[in-house]
Amino acid sequence: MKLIQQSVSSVVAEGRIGSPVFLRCMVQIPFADTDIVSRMATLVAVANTWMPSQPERIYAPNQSDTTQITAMVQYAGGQTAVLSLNRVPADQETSVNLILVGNKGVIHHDTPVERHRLMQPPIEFSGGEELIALIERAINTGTPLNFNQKPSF
Amino acid sequence: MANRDKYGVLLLGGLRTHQENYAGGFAADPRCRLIAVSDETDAPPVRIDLNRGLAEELEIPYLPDLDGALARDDVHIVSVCVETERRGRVAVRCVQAGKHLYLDKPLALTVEDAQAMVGAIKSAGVRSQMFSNVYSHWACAARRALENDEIGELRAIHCDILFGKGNAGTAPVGHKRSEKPTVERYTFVEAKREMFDLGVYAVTMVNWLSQKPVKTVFGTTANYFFKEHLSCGIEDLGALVLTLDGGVTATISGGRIGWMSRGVQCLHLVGTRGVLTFDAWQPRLEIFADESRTQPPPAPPADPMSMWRSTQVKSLPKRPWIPFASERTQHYDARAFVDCIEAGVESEMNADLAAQSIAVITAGYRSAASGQVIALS
Repeated sequence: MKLIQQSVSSVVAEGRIGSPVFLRCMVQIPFADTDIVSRMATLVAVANTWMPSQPERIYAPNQSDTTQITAMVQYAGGQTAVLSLNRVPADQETSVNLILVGNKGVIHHDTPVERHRLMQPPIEFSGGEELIALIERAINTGTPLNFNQKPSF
Repeated sequence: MANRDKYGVLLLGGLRTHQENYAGGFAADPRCRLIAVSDETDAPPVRIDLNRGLAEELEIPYLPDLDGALARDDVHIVSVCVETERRGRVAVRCVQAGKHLYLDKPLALTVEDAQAMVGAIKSAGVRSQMFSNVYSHWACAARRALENDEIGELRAIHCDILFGKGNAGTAPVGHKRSEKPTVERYTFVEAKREMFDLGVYAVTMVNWLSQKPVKTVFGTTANYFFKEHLSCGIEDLGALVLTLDGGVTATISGGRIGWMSRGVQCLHLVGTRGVLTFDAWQPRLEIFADESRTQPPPAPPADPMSMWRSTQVKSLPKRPWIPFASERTQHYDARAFVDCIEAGVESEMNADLAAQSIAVITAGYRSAASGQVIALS
């Protein structure tokens, strides 16, 4: 996720989309990758780097299985991120779809697919480990929880 | 040979409503004839003037007495585009007159109005349909994918409806919106409640595709883009996280995000065997040319958000892409409704299903106001 994080951050830093306000991001990972909560933690940590204020609350409804996990993060400045992590069959690759909406523009990204797929650099997950316990608690309780520490990426 | 007298269509509501579009949909159907425009006699005078304006444009009469218009034998379908605040009671009058009901979205302002409408429709045995995206090519493709078991068991649906209209960047950034638990007013000249107005497309899509009741709602609303929404005290974007019966998760966003965006109408289905994405703007052409990216002209005070065909800014900025040519949404939606009447079957988006979206969205406002998860019975 580091290349995506850095690329998006560079556009945000140039001010081309104004101030980021809303993020919709979906990540697909192969079934063999069983650590879905830690992957979501990385995703939340990445989202936090793009938003101009601190994360305040997270809601992740209780999941009936491990096919997917979804979370909404609310930020102190009113910004919102809706994040989903989906497990796909082993023959499918890790992919990312994101829309980062700023108050004056939008960034779209879709992982190259089909005949372009070899152009995609590997998507590796690291960072956000300190958020894992919070996300697990959010899923288990099914209620919105406050962030109690400053996350890092 | 087509018989245009088979279905007479009475239009309620006129210029600066979606009747501008729906009338065109019925006029394009060879089985239908536009009979007249009408409304309640005590409708706001400005609204009556705008109704007369549409009647003149369509070269059909304006009938000021709604009861008289509904008593006509040559009226079979009523297309209802009166203000959302009046929609519930007007729709019930139409149904009690034995007319089939084509409804603007959202169905009603309150759950109570929607339920009254649904009860009246069931008692009268007429057909109903709320305008939605479910007959669009991308929604039908998604439905086929589920029916063909392309992704295994459905586990999640994510749908975004974000319109690329309006001059964004005029609202202050970094301020949290304070939401109210109830929606008391919907109709403003300069803006609409976007989680209601556009989120309804996404919520109805979730309801229609899943055919599962919503159990819980968690939502947020915001003022990210427009001073007009802020001054009216209404949101320009909202997002909901839903849990559905059977452990399915759904998320939706509905909002207006400005000219500079390309707009988003997108749907993701997540199943136990894979993920599929459906996009209203696919397939499309990308165009890079030696032409300046024009700025939109100043927004007209009567319609700064470009909500209506008759008043929206005519010169849009040139877009670097265009979707493949396709039939206008209003045309196939109206035709689908007439097909249902002819076949004697319920519409895919009848009032009963549409009413569920009102319950979900109004719960979303309660959640945004309280910060809590709202359970639906």
